[in-house]
Amino acid sequence: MADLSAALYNTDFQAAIARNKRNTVILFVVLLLISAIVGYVLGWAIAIIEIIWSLPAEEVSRLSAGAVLLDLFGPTRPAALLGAAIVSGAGFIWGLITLSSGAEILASFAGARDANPNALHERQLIDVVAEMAIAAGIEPPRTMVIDTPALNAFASGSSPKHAMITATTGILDACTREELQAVIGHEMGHVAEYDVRYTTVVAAMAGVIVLLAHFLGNIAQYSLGWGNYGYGYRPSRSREEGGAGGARLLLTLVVVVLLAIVMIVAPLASKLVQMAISRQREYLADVSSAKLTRNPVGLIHALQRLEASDTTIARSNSPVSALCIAAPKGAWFSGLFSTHPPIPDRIARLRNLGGVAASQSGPPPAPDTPAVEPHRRGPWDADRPPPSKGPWG
Amino acid sequence: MSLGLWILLGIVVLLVIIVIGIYNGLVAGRQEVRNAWSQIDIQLKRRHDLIPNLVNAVKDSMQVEQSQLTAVIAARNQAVSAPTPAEAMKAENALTGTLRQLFALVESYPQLRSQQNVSGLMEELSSTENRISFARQHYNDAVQAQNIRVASFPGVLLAWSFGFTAETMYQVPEAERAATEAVPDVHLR
Repeated sequence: MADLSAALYNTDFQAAIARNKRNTVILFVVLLLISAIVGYVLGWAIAIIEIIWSLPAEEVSRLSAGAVLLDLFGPTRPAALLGAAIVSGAGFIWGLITLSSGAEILASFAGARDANPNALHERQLIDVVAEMAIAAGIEPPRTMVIDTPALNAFASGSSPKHAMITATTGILDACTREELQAVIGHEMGHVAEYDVRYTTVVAAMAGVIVLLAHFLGNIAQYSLGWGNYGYGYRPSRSREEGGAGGARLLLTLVVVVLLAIVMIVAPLASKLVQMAISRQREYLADVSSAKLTRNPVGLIHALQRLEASDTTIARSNSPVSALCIAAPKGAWFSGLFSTHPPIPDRIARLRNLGGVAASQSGPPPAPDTPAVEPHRRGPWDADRPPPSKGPWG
Repeated sequence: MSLGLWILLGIVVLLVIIVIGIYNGLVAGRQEVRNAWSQIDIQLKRRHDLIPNLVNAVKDSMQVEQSQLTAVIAARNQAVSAPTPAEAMKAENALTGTLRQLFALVESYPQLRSQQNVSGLMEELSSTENRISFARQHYNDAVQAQNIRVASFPGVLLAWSFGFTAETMYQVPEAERAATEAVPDVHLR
């Protein structure tokens, strides 16, 4: 199945890069639309409830629930447009504020140290990072190392000038220089495409929707108790109310139920879109690696090694995983909610770029390394599955 | 002013903004090409400066025929002192040739490869060669991007009038091609 769908994809990396960027733009627009729809429905709900409670009694009795719902698709109300603008704008602006505050996501982990040029594998890492930076036309990012046998690598920093690439000693020991170059090429692709900025803004936009849903959920719990005493209490009309008061409550309930449905579906939809965007950026980084190294086979071998090994890093949470080479293993990351595409699909697309005949066999045996000291247990060694933290957990 | 006139003004402003965008893109592209070209020179100079120090550091511990290492130093000196750019190009290719022989030598003798300082030397030399070739690759990528900008619509309308032309890619000249494609000759003693 993976091979069949891969046959439909591009065989040259420039076209693949253009395609991935187009897809991310489309998904971003979808996310914007979801925000706008949520805001629109919210604004409309407020406006229509105001109207229901301010119309004279006999007009209210003539309104049916269907007519109220149809009004959602009727002429646009200023409150609805305002709501759409506020919600979609808020997420975007919040993302920009987070970026400009200077707090770089994952600036450095506790336990990450600068790569040591006197150790051969770390010297190779520094050289490989410099080579990939030259190929990408950017300054070499700072190179850090984490002591753990897990295989993984991260990119961080909001722009190529302030970027940092971190690799685990596990991946340095397990991969050949060619494979390491491919992995670093992938991370350099993330840096060069400003992926940290991109994912920050996307996460902020999805976050606004989730927060709004929580907030309104809390309000709904309180206001259900008010229904009889709050909005409807108009002493001057209390004589005429009678049946109309009941009608007003019913119509309000209809609107509130619609709002509730939207508020349940929207955070889910925006989360799905956010994860889809993340997966597109991962495909883009894979293609960037192929472009920088001109050697897709190297990345294929590296991915095969990753698939076969343990990529778990303790204390990882969802913003971290978006910038790794492979999703840290754990049941939480799977399918539509995964930040990374499945490795067989990534390999299939890379085969397309490098010629199908290449790399039908598995990765070469591990490089013969000189005797390594026994691994010191660092703070990163996972002795239990990563806790699922983060605002989306 | 009538509505038609406002619309016309709006279109003119939009066109000006688009033209500014295209022009700036062409300028940025050309600067990227210049930068990439000088990056190649930087890496070549780095090779010149690095080789004597590296080779001297391991000369005594490498039990191979000294002539192989001396050949590398001699080729490097030739490249540094070449009088014309054409001569420099030839000398650089010759230096690359001697280094390739050295790599092939070390690769085919595993007991050499396992020595700590030899592997450190090999890492430095191969990284230097990699950096030079990646710099050339990036130069070609920058040239490709600029050529696409200059030749495709709508940049093509403006490029000629603003004085932007297609750039030339880095290529091995025909005369050198045979030398660079030759399989290196390896012998230990």
